[in-house]
Amino acid sequence: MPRYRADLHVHSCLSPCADIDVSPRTLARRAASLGLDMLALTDHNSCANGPAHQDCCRQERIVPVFGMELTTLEEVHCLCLFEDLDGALDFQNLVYSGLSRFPVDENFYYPQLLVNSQEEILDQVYFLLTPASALDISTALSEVHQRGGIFVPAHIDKPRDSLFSQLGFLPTDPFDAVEITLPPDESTKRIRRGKLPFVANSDCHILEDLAQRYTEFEAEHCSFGELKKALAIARARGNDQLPQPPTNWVAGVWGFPSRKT
Amino acid sequence: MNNLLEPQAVRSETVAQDLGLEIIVAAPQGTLISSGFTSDLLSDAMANAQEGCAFLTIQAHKNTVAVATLTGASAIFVCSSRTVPEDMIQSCKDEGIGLYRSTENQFILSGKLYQLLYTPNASVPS
Ligand SMILES: [Zn+2]
Ligand SMILES: [Zn+2]
Repeated sequence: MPRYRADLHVHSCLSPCADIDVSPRTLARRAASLGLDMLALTDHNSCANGPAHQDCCRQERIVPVFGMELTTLEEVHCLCLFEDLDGALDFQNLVYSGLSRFPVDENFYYPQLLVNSQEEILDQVYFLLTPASALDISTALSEVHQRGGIFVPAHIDKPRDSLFSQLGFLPTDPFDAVEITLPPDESTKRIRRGKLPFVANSDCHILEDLAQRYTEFEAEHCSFGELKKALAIARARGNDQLPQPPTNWVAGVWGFPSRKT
Repeated sequence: MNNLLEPQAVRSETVAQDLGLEIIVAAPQGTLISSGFTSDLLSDAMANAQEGCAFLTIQAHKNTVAVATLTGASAIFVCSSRTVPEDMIQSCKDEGIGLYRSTENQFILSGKLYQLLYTPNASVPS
């Protein structure tokens, strides 16, 4: 079975902490040139650059995933991933409705830019996108699942904005996977991830970050549905033993992907 | 409240009444509150909250109950009138942990609880 490479945690110029040059277009181009098959756009609490992401990924013939890096009520960052733009935007409405409207102080943050596939600036989001939403982690998970999405606590082993820093333990909610940033053994020293499969992604804020870590999965073809299936199989199996092909597997990979032939 | 003595344990009913707390889930009869711990970072509470404490926080959700259970806290005091979700109420009932709510913020409520626990026969200002 073929293996596919995905970067599922990527910020664009809509995130107030990301480089202003990181547009959906530059991201999709670089992703394609690095040999990624799938690219998610996950700005903080927003999917609003999703339309440009869709167009740019189509142009580069890579599979777009739509979503956001949600800040939960507990201030835990979680990847909320959707197959289609409509599902993502519907979830965004829910998140926006509970978000405090702090203005963006440009002494501290980059402007939050909405752009099109030609890198033209369409608008800005004038309230800060990074604060805690009104959704606690369990509620957020069920709302994402109701929309057919994938829910992954982000960078769970980091000392801030993570399950490790905010809760100190892994709740029993049915997460689809967890994202780690340290090699698996190192990560486990900080927080147990139970039997959950893990993914690794770049959390790209500047273009050079892209695909520095990525996720590889085995599937019939490259699609959101197949990724979901691979995660479900990995979840049912537990991650104790590294399975050999031909079983589906999902794993994080560190370092740039080598260009595929 | 000048001398830093050992706190006295006070019955949860008394604490609730003196601090003007809204009772959402009453702690089991006879539950004593012997200290307080104030934090909105659950991993901090997990590491440092003491058994028998009241846990003062604005983190009104189910995972707060998990931390209270793991640390042996007697009760959770939700500050600043935060909305308490149904699954948090249910978890408190299941785990036998008192759940109370205050209109005060963490600082003011902590001060009132401190005064009650550390001053013998203190009356808390309203
Ligand atoms: Zn993050
Ligand atoms: Zn991120």
